[in-house]
Amino acid sequence: MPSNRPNNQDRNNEPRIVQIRENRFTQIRTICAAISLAMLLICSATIVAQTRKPRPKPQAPANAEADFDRFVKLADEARLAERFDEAISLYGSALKIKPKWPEGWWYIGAIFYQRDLYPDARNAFQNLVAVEPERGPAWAMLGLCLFQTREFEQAAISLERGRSLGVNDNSELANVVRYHIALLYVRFEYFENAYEVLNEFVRIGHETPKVVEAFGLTILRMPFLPGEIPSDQREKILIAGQAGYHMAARRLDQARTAFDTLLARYPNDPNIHYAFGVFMLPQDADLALNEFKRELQISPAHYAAMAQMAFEYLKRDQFNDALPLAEKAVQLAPKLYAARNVLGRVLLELGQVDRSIRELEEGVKLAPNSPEMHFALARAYTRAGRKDEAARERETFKKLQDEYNKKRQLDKSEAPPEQKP
Amino acid sequence: MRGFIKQYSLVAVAIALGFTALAVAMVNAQMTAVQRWNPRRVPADAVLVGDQACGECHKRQFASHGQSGMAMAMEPVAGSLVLNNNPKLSMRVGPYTYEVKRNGKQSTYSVTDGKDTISVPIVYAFGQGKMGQTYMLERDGKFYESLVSFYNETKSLDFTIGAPRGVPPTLNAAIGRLLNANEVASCFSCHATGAVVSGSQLRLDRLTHGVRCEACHGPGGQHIAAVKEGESPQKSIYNPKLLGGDELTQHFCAGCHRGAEEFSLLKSLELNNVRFQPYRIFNSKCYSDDRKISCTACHNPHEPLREDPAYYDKRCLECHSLRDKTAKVNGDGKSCPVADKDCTSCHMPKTEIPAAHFKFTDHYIRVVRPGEKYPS
Repeated sequence: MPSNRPNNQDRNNEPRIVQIRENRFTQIRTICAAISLAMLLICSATIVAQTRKPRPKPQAPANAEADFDRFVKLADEARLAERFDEAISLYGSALKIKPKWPEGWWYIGAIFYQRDLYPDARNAFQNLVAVEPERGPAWAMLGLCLFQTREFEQAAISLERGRSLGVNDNSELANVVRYHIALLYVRFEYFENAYEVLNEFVRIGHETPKVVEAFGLTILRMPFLPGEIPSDQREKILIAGQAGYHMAARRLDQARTAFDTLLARYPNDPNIHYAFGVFMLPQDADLALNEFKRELQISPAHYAAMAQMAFEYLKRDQFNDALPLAEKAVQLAPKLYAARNVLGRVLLELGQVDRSIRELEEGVKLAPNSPEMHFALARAYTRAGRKDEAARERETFKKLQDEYNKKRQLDKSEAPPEQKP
Repeated sequence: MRGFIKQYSLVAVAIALGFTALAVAMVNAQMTAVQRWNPRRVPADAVLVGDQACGECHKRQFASHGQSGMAMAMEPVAGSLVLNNNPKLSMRVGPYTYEVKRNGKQSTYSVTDGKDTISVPIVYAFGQGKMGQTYMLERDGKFYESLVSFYNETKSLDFTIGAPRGVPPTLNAAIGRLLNANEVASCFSCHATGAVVSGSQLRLDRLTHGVRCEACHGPGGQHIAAVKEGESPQKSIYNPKLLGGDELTQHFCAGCHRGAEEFSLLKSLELNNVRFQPYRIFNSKCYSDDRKISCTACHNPHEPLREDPAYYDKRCLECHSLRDKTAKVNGDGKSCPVADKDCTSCHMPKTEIPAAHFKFTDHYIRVVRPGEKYPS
């Protein structure tokens, strides 16, 4: 295998003049001085010339170009023949000649990933995204590798970046990315976000056991990865997953049956009454409120139940009932933007405009892409007479709505024909 | 001397700041004191006096409001013009035949598959009939939305908007959609007055058909007593006129007519949403908190809907100027390069929802070119 590294051994074996006569030394010194002066002049002239003329781009030597082509050809052949070790070695050789060759990093990363060598695959995709930072599938693959190496935060960032840059022309990869993002949200306890992402599977009709299981983890607010699920919890998660999938698919009767089974088998387990309450809220708000109350008896620090109750009381103009729940939810979960949202809205209704604005501004910081947050803040600014800021927030709300609508249109075009309205 | 002036200035600034803070506090205090009213939630202890009592003083509003679409948002079945004028309506869907039949002051809604028949009395008729009318049916103590509705354009029955437009799987399903508690409350809270109290609790014994005076202004008893006592009438009644433009449009009127925020939650992109005017107008470039672009800038809720375009031209000219700059109008905003009249024909065109057999005015104000796709 040829190498571009300098040969240190040769450099060390350079001959040295050990003994020199005095007169000979003086003569040589004079000649050297003359040569140095001449060299200096030549260098200066070269520098001047270079500043005047554009510098020609360095080109790979013709033999290196030929070597590169040869390595690529052999590597592709090896890959297609499933001689993966050989393919990796050959792609590596090609990349030594052209380290910024994106396809090489892609193939090496993909082969490592396929062989479950995730740290190596991660390194390859990291090189790829450094060369092509706008390549969505590369970020997606990097995210999947980071997920496997359990670098979860970086995985989430990479997967989201891949999604935002677009992997939709590859529906299989899109589904894998979507699934792993949902799992990471579950792991980070962002269950509402996970539910939103999993909802996309419902829209495209992708009902698989893995997706149902992820719905179960989300509905029950259990921050596990699938491999970490305790065996005695599997049945409960599966039933909850079915309830969650049916709920998202608006198959209300089937969802209700699954929830009834859950409630009958696990009446005192945490999160089940909360999940059932969320399901019932659009249908029978009174019943939902009772379920949230039951959940708080089982899990007194259930901030999500508190926030849901506060929203419902807000809707009913029962602001004094809503306030302590919203305040407690914010105290327990200061990073939960929904809690800031409801507290800000309740305070606004109670005439505490300045405090309301503080809560809503904090909510906007936590969730800058939430249209509802900007809408609520616009209303509070309007109430405070801060017209320009209100107008700005309304514009942001519109912009986010437009972005959401565009995304919805894309999702609709992605849906299989039978799913299209 | 200079030091004295400096010191004096500082004191003056401090006093000014103090007054400003006091003024802000007073504004906030006034806001909390303003009576709050949610047209869709009547407190359980509220005593409604009815329109007649309001009409004793507010004669003009009482007379005209009775003819408005809002007042007739729900018709009493016994006196229903739609049901009286269309005594027998029928429709066939696959093996099912629907019939809405008048008998004296009652109407029945029936569906048969040829062997079995389900027949129920119509208990509530939703809608004034300008576009159409949908029926609420009561069966075994549960409420159903009729699968078919009356449409004025065709003077016949067709599927209710939003209902599945196919052959129902069973005779029971053919009646219509079973409504959940929230939906029942939602229907009555927007089409009637006084029927819904806290949450989804119904008080049909208190129901008055349509959106009447106290639906928007709150209970009138205290107000009438205050006036009789010679007290200021404003303090004892809710007046939506005092709301800012955005508060009025996106919160008060949008309570029933549906605003922008509700759509951010509903996430609907369908043509059907052209019916929801607060949501549509919110998208307009000229939308703001200014009352000149709020619902009541163009619509007087105490009167029937105006249909003449010239009436609306005047509303546009509150802000916009005419091409002839010497003409006397209120607005100094941009003039239209095409025309000085019939503004709504180009900027707020009527959009047909085929399923509704009706053309709705799209309140998203913009330049609409012929054949342009409906912007969702």
